This record gives sequence, C-alpha cells and structure tokens, in this order.
Amino acid sequence: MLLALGAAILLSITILITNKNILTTEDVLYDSNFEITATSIGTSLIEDASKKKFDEVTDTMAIEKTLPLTAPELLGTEPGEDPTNRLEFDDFDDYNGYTFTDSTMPTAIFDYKCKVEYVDETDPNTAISKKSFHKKLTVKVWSKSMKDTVMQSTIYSYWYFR
Amino acid sequence: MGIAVLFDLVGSVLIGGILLITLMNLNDSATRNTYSFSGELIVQENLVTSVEVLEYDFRKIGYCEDPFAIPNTKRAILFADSTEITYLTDVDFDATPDTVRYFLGPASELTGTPNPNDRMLYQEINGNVAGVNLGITLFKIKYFGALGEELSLPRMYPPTGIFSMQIDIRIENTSAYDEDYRYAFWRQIRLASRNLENR
Repeated sequence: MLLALGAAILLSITILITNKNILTTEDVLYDSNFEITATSIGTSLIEDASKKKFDEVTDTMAIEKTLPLTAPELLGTEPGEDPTNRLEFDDFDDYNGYTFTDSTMPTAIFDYKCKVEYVDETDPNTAISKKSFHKKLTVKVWSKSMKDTVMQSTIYSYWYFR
Repeated sequence: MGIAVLFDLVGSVLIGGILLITLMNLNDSATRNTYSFSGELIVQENLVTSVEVLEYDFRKIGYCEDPFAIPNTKRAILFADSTEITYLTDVDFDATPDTVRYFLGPASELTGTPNPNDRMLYQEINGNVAGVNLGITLFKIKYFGALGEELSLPRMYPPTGIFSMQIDIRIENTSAYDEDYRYAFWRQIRLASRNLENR
C-alpha cells in the first residue's frame, strides 16, 4: 500500500506540473488574443487621425514656413472642441492627450491614450520642442486583462501641391 | 490470509482505482487542451490572414495604375451593404479597372462543419468568385460620411457618399472539443481608403 501511496504522490506532482503548463499556455493565448484586438484599436486610431488635416491653420490655407503652425506646448484640441469627443477633432494634433475607455469590444475592456509631438525628419524617434512639418502620433492601448501595453506610432508630414 | 494482507490488498485496489480515474481525467483534459490551444492558434492566424487581405484590398478602393481610368474616385464604391461591398480598383496593376465584390455566404451553406455559425467569405473579381472558409462568424461593415455620420444601408447608387468604414470581424473554430469554440475579434474603425478623395 505504501508503494501505491508513493505512486499517488508522484502522479499528483506530475498533474500539478501539467496543470501549471496548461494554465501558462492558456494565459499566453488569451494575452495574444487581447493584443490582436488592441492592435486593431491602435491602427484604427491612427487611421482616424491620419485622415484629418495636419494642423488647425492648414485647414483653409497652404503654408510654406512652420511659423503659423500650432506651438508645441499647445498641441491638442482648440477652444470650443471637446477633448473627450473624437468626432469633434478636425486636425491631427487634436489627438494629443486624448484618452478613452472602450467597453464595446467582446474580448475585454480597453483603455487608450494618444500623444502627439513634433519630430525632426533626421531623428523621428525624438520629440522636439519647436515647430516642424512632421508630427508623430503615439497610441498606447492597454487593458486590465492584458499583461503588457500595445504601443503604435505614426508620423504625419505636411504636404501641399498646386 | 491475514487481515493486514487483506487490508493492503483492498487499500491498493482503492488507491489504484483513484489513480486510474485521475489518469483518465488527465488524459481527457490534455486532449481538450490540445484541441483548444491549437484551435485558438488557428483562429488567431486565420484572423490575421483575413485582416491582411481585407485591409490591403480595401485601401486600394478607387486605385488604378492609370489614374484617368477611374476619373471620379467618389464613384469607386458601386454598392455597399452591411455584409457586402462592390468597388472599382486595379487588382493586377494593368491600368484597367476591375470590379471587386466581397460578400458573406449564408450560415446554412457550411453544414459540413460542426460550428453552426461559420460562413464563407467570398471575393469576386470581374465575375470570378472565390470563397474561403476561415471560420468567419461575423463580417459587418458600417459606413460613415464626411462628417463622421453613419450612413443608412444599402448604398446602391454611386457616389455613395462613403468616406470611411468600420469593419468588424469575428472568427471562430470550425470545429471544437465539446463545441467549446474559441474566437478572436478585430475591429478596424474607419479604414479610410486613400483613393476616395478624402483630403
């Protein structure tokens, strides 16, 4: 009987290890599933922002110098625009500071935050504190159900042709 | 036979029985998880494949190698409904516009798969239809106008006034252990085609 008890203990340990492996795999699969949806949210936001005009001042006129553009510290919604309502955004930098909680996804509840800053064409990964013809949008998407945060970014450059 | 031997024998049989039941459960659990995990992987891969194809194709709505072949890109979308879209594009870059149609087949079509909700997604290029079963159970498109307003459906007569779209895709396993279907979801909000005079 002692032998049988020993076998039971040995089997229990094996089962526990197997169970742990199964749960770890399950965890990874769920996480990647959430990350797929988070990626779709990120790309959607980038799509949405990319179809807006470059700056508030480029709505009605073409510019050749950076001087009329919005100052770096003022990137964001203009007075009269609701910073929580994306439908009211009319230019790319209105997304600066935009945060939202999306509970409409069937997989999980997602939070996201956007940041817009000027970048230089020679070093697009570093924000600059002066105006330029290039703005970088960084979107961070996370969820309580996810282990990590999905971060995506895009650079939108001003162009005009006659 | 002494009482101790009998006790040993009964105890061993009892513990052996418990071990056997545990092993059977473990085996069942392992089979279920193998199905489930490989199913989840297939679902995620299928979703990514579907999205890659759809995004690539939808971004080229109104595009043609010869820009004069589709002179008014606002008329590039010929028909739009919640599970169907027909548009002009240049699929093979031969400077000739092609008519592309995406539509979802009925659930009753796939009676061969255990999942009762999976449907075929069809791509029709100039009348040639090709269908694929990737386990799509939801393929829904919403359309938005220039001011972000949702457009009523169907949009039958170009120009349809479509400025952007929201594509919802849900993919499930075509078969699963104990009908426990895994799923993955993608929502591409406002995929704006670059060729629809959006700027």
